[in-house]
Amino acid sequence: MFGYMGKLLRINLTDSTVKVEDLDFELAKKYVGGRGLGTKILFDEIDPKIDALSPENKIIFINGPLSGTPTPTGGRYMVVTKSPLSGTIASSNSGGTWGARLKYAGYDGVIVEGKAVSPVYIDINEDLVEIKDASHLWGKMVSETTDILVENKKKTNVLAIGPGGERLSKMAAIMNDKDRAAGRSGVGAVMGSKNLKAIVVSGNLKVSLFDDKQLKVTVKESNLKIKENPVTGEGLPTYGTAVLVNAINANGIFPTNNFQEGVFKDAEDISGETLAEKYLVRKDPCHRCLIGCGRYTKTDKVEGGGPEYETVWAFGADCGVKELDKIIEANYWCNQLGIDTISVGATIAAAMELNQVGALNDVDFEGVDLTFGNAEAIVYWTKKIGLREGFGDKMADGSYRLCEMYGRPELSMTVKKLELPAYDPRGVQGHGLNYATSNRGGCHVRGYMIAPEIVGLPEKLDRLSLENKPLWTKIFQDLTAFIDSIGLCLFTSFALGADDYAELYNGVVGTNWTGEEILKAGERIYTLEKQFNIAAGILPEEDTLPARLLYEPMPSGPTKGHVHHLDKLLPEYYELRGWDNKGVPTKERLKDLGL
Amino acid sequence: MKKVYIELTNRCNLNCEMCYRHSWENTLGDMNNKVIDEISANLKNTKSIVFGGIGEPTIAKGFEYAIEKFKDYDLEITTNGIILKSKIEMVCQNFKKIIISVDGTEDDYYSVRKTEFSHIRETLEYLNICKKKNNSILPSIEFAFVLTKSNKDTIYKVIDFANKYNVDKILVSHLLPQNKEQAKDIFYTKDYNHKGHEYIKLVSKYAVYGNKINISFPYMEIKTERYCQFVENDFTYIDYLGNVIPCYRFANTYTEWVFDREKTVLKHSFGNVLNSSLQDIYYGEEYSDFRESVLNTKHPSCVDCNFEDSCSFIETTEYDCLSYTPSCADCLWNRNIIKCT
Amino acid sequence: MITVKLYSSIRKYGGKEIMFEYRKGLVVRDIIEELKIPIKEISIIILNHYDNTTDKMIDREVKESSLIHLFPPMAGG
Repeated sequence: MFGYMGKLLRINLTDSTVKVEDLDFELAKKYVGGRGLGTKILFDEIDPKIDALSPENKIIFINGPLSGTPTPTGGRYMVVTKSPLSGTIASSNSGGTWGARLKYAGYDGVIVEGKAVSPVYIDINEDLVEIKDASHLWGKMVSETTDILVENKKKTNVLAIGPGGERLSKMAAIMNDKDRAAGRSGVGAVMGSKNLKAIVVSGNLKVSLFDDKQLKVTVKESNLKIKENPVTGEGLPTYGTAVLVNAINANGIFPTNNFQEGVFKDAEDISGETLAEKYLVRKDPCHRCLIGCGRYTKTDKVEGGGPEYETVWAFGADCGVKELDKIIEANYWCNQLGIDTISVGATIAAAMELNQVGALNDVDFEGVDLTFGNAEAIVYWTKKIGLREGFGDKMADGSYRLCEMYGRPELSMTVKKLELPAYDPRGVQGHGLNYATSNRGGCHVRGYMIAPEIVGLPEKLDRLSLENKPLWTKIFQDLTAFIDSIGLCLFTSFALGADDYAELYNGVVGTNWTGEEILKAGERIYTLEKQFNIAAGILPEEDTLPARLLYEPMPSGPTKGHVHHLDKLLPEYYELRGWDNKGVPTKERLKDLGL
Repeated sequence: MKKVYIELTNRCNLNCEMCYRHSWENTLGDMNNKVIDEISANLKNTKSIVFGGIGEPTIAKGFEYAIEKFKDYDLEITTNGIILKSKIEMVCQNFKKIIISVDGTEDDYYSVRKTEFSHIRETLEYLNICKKKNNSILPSIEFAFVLTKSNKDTIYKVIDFANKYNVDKILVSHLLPQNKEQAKDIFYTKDYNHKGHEYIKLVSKYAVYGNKINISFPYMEIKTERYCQFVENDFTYIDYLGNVIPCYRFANTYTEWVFDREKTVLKHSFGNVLNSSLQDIYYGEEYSDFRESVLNTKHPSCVDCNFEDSCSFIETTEYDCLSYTPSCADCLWNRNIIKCT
Repeated sequence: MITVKLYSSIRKYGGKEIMFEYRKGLVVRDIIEELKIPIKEISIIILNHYDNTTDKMIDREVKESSLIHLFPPMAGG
């Protein structure tokens, strides 16, 4: 089959065996690849109720049929496993080159099972696959580990965990190509629990395309759309994702001091414009990307990839900090330690509020107080979290468990224990619905409703109205599920529509799907994830938002006085999804989707 | 296949500073007779054969054999000019054109070529002697001058020298930098190159009126026009292993610098003459599609694209953003900045 | 006085912040035209905390000491 390499690697770390299996093309037809196919394989092979950090859990590294092809942003991959942080399905997406390199090595995915007795890493070099000792790497930071494993080999990419993953922090990320993060849901801890330090991939095989003449025409059209679109053609390349800071702040939905406020007075200091002016060294595009929103920044202390908009918010406004160089430093340490910038920043913010309300009086802050606005704290406590030292050990398992431990669970701004990112739902009703119903918890990239509600793409919606927001949210979620499954980047959806994705997919794989069919495939994948969560014991009432966002009106700014009306939106959403009022997919809809 | 470049060897008896070989990884070797036979058996409406490539043809093992095989074609040779007398005689007997790399005289020459300039003088003296002896105006002698900021004023001495040894033409080409330092020494620019045009005026006046010698210049800045000498004139290139390659650039995997940006050029061949005939390869679908896309300039232009620093397709020549492969989108031959014919 | 704040790529039309004299019947369109910003370069207009589609906002009246935010199209995170 075109686009796919047709082979999966199954690696059992307990009895250290390596098997090559053929990809089941019937499955690939229904679940496409990446997030979709990975979820299907995981759901078939593990009992969703198991402990995510036990050897019974499996971790699947899987790219999409379009990864490694000349399609725009064709290079992404997903890490699919059960999340130790939220207990839900976790499919964490990342860019860089590792995903495409796995394709060039001849594989669509790697399924890792069991647990190694001692630290190991996997070395994949086309058809030579070995499990090697990694005791000399255990404890090392991500970039040092990457440099050692790459040596001076060409066409080689490394995916690794840092000390965060080794010490099983539930916010641990998996870092590929040094500064690209499959960051959320604590997937790094699953690797850590298996004593798996890294996966090195080398290869230079070609991906066969079904009809490259027709594909050339399609790629040309989509690339021109991407270049001509003001967002993907100018905003993102020039200012990176942090260009959003001022826009979100001006709408009064820029969560400040752990979501207590919606406006941050020093937003300008941590905005994309300031980042570009003061600290940007160069743009840092992922494999096969022509948008180039990646940043490579340098301060007098550190140098490296990022920070992204979410990072600048999590360590900035959410902690009340306006020193951008300190934020960049905290981001650097997250990349080195291999921990998720959103969750870590939000957990520090939650700790600051716990301290503010006097819940942390007997905690030793080692001279660096956890108070809003303390720039030193975000760097100091990031390191402590990554190394599980002192009070950092208690914060390393996320803000929900921290707030619960100190008796104030309502101060944890999470959904299904995953920390909410940088948009206050009280001012964007659709986006809030997406948070509540996202299959991995408080996550913004499962249905990025900010595009229509704030930016106006594909069309402008009134952010405060409830009118047909459930329909919009469902469409965005289904389309995102498909994009995550073919291996392209979500940012292309600012410029491309469902029909473009259908054409790109058809040109590579040789199907003839229409826009509707890919949305249906997206819905099938989304519903499958929901079934996994239900089997994993996620209760219907967890489709909700923190109490503060439902009952406490926004105190000031352009969104003053508003709350999120989840109660009005959820029933209509369930109905559209063909789920009952408890959010459980009905038999008819399952049959209709072929599940 | 009007003109076929054959790389008799990629070995060389010199080690010039700016040569592509510094960033090479591949092995060295000579074209064996079997490959030469395969080529000569399958040439179709070919007018001339060039003994060229990134190596010194005159030291190749198959040099004499190749002359024998291709003697009823117009023969041309590009050489660094460090040639044994016996070989010079052969060139005079069989070749229509000899292009010698000369980027300066005396110490200027030495600083680049790391060999005494006297060798060049001897070669030229002997060339003229042979031509007189054979009472023939052939082979026509041309100089290839690689122009940089640091050696641009040495051209006047080269013109004098060329005139003295009745050289017919001087081909000026810009430098294709192999590393960061060389990238600073380039004499071409992206927008209007005032100094460059001044330079052309002065040198042309000196060459044409003063010494009556023909001189051709590359463009001094990037223009919108794109023209590939190789594809437009039905040229092709065959390396010493018999791989059929569209042009000089794709003959090897090496690192080049396009202005201030590093780039990896990947070797690309459309087939090997030992596996399938030269004609099947040249007129095969893949190579024909490639020529058609270059002739109609379908590939994008990375050199003056404002996404240049935010796009990853540009890092190698495997694909460009319109998914052409191999990609000519960043090629300075295509912009008449680098010239080799 | 009316405060107009510009962001990212349209800062080239007048820097971060510009003050405008209030006059009767002033609408958002006048300000944008005075700053010579092409309409297609603006995707978000916020007038005193209220925002809506550009075509609905463009002809709204601007009262004394209003605050206007103008953004080019952008996205992220």
